[in-house]
Amino acid sequence: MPGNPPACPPHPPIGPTGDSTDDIGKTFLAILGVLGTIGTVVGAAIEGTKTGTIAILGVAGDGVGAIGLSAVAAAVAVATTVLAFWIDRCLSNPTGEEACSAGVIDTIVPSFNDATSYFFPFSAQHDLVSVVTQCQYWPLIQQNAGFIHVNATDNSPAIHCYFKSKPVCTAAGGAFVGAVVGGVAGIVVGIIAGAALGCAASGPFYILCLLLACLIAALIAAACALFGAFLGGSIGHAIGGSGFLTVDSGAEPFVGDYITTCGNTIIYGNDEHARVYWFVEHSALHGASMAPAGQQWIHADPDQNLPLDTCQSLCPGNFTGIQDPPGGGDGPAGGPPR
Amino acid sequence: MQPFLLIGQLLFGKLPFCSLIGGTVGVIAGSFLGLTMDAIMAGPLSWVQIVEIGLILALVGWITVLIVFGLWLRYGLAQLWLPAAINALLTAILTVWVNELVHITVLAPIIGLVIGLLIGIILCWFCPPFVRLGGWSITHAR
Repeated sequence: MPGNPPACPPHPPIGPTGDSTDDIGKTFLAILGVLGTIGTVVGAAIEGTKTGTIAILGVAGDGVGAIGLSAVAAAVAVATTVLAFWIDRCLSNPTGEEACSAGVIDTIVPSFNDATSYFFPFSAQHDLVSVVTQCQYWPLIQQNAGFIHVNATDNSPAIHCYFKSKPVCTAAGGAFVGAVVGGVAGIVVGIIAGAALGCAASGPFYILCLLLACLIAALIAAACALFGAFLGGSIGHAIGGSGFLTVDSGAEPFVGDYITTCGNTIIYGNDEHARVYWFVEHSALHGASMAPAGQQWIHADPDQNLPLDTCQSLCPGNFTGIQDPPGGGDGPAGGPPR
Repeated sequence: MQPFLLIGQLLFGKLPFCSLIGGTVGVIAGSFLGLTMDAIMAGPLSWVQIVEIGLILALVGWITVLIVFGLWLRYGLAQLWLPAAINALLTAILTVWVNELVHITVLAPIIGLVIGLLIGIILCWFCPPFVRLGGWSITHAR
């Protein structure tokens, strides 16, 4: 039976405590900046050295170099961004700190839970279980974090626990292959379509016409790359199987369940720089909370109704709370986790 | 991919969310403008042309922002469309105008990026925090 909960450590700050913007957003901007700069430099070099009308893929005409570069840049930008998602979701394998914590589940967001995940499969996220922890784990949540997630009821801190989902990885891999294939096809179609506008190299509307031709080529190339990503990602998703979210025992967790999780924790740049499990390696359920409406989900619930030593049972080497280890100590240590 | 991640962290790591939106629009506007100006020896643009080109580039940048940040990164279209539209309009038109003044095509994407980042910083003072969707909308991130 649960004992008396330990005195809680100081409540962590709520929300952002540092950099909380999105890593993939920054990476996307860097990709655009580098590609755009390379494109304009190459464009200037081509235009500075050409001695007549240039032809790309058999298409000749004024401004075809700019149209071709636009299409290539757009396709490469899409494929590189899809690759960035794949690396973030599945390939990066970041090293963090092994940890363990326990609490009550306040939110579950399964992978492929929205239409965007199906239309853009590379953007699907792994299964997420948000856990309002016992207060003994607040130092873990706060440790080096740029953001503290909380439950709205009484601002109880929560930790996001990501469970690795095989379909997410197969979908992201398939999407990248599809984006490359679709992008190559899109470059060809985009250049032909852009050049078909037939802008004459004179007159007051030439710059507007050429700009539109470049945009049409780029949009077609990007759309083809995205369509390829959709096809490849859908195939990868199907290959990956269903990937139901379960704990070690095979049981499915639900909102309101008490849960203990342990695994690698990192400061995750695509979850507001909060400390999260990436990924949960072991997990166990301990029944469902009986908290009445209005008390869901607050830390006092697991503090009072969930044993304090569940981590010692599940992952003895990963303990990160502050209650006494079995057989030692004089009271709550209150210190930071290791 | 690591270089892009490093560049993103080093250059944009401490910037607010609105800056990423402005920067995205700016670099898109600057890149297409630079490529176009590379290809032709354009004379000075009239104000009407600057606004026309700015509006077209703003539309493309705005759509890109809505897809990338609104859909892929799950910030949602409903809360992004209006601030992103204002950001895109200001950034794109200013990018075209400044590049018309400077007229160094290879610098056009960088000029657009800087303009977008600055406009984003300014606009962020007037915007409520953006909320990322996905079942945990209690979180607020700038």
